[in-house]
Amino acid sequence: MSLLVQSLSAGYAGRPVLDCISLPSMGGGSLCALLGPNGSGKSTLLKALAGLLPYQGQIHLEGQELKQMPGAERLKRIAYLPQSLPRGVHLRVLEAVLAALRLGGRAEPRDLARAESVLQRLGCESFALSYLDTLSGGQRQMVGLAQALVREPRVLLLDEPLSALDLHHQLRTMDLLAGLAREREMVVVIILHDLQVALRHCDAAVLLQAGRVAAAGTPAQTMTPEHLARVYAVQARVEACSQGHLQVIVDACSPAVQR
Amino acid sequence: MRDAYAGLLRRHGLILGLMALAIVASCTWDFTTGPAGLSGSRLLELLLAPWSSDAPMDADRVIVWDLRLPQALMAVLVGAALGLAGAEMQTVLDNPLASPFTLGLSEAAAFGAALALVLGAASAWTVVASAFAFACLAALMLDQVASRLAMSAGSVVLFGIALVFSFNALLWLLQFIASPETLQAIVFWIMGSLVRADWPKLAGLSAVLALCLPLALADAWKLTALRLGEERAASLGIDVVRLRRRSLLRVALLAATAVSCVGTIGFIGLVAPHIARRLCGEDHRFYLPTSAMTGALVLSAAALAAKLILPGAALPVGVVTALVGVPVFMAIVLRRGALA
Repeated sequence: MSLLVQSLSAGYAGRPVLDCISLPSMGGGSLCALLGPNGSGKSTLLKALAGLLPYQGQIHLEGQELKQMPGAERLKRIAYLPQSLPRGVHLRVLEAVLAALRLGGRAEPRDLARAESVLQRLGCESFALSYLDTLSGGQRQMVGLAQALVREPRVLLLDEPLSALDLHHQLRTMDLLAGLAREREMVVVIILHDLQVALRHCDAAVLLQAGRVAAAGTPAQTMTPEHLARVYAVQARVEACSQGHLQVIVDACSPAVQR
Repeated sequence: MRDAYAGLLRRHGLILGLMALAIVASCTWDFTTGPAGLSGSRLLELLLAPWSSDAPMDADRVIVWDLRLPQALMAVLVGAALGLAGAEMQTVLDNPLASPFTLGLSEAAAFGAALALVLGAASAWTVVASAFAFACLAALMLDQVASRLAMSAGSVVLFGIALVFSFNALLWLLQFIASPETLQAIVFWIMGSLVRADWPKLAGLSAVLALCLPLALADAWKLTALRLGEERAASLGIDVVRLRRRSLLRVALLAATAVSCVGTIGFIGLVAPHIARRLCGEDHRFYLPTSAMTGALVLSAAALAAKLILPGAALPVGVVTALVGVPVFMAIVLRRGALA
């Protein structure tokens, strides 16, 4: 599995967002972090990759252009988890996962087994029969992830999947995603705001700024003090901790922003 | 997990079965209740052998076959149509306060009926046809706006509210210029009453329900997925705009037919989905039929209550449903307010 993005422009009616961006090729089994300040085009890029937005340029999936791929084929290969969590939905967790899997006809026993296995793997089995509107934000986020994973995609696109999770679940989810990516030869593109998580868990990182790529490469190559100062307008250091892991330490906002 | 889920599915099946029994019971009670004081055995005799009665018994036959039976069945069918339409509408508009009347369909129908009455319609059927035509016109406008502009659920609701106000204004204009007799006829029509039930209308509404319910159930998984959010549904390969359009067309057909048969009967389309949601959740394979059956049961019970509260007065059922509906509506609004 490989995902290649070249000269991609995309946006919304009358509002272009991404301006001719190209990304390093992403291979199966890897986790790629999409980073950048608010409004830099991260979610737009993810939606374009999911085939939910019209675009110019090329998105190649295993050498095949996304636009030329039949809809059913695209859906089988790509799963996308949007940022928004469903609210006030009186639907059981298992039914929500089944609905993601089965969009026509009867639920087959095999579907039920798949849904059950994904929920167990994500540690959601204890609330599998609870209603979504009784769950916490973090639990609903895990259910969203289960909906994306149950389709066994080759490309998994996640828009801030950790935003409602506590520290323990953030680490667990990232470990799980890394494991699944390797196991299934899956490309995982994940929007993150926590740079530590990106440094520690991802194989590649792309830093976006105002619809363009500011830096791309390994997380260490991407998150340099210079890049962070330019993109986030912060004075930051990237230093190894006592155990040798790289960490971003933010000292202050840049003077330009303080003014 | 699978065993527990199988248990839940059985429970949903049981709820549907019990509701069907309750509808039969309510409809039967409704059928046997009335000012004529016909005994149970006499009703059964007339029901089983309608043509065997001799001349003096003709009045009884008319009561059973032309009044009691069509009205009792009409309550069930109209309730089912409005319950189903309300459930679909709340899902596709992502709004728990939506009902078939949120989008101005009933106001359009009322205006159509009033226009026919003001223009001196020759027969009751002209009034019904005019009401139906205007409800369909409103639905068509809504459909065009929703699909051409690929509007979001919120925008469709706003456009619907605009339609409500427009048709209401036009209706008031007609009432202003109508003669006192016509005004009375308009008011009676708007009030919503099962008295207008007859067999051709029953056949028409049955056909519409028989068409819409299977089509809605065929979209059940997609509608369930839509509850998880438009973006998520789109990412699952659902064409949200087309799904919403199909669903709105079904809602329009159901509401327009129901309203043109019996006038405006409020709150069934609002209340039935809420009860159904509490009973079996929003898995639309169960939610849609449960909402239809809840609507049927509530309207049948309301028709019965109307007869029991004021025996012999033929209290319009729309009055009863509104009187029950308003407190429920207020409870929903207040609860939402408390949650916010």
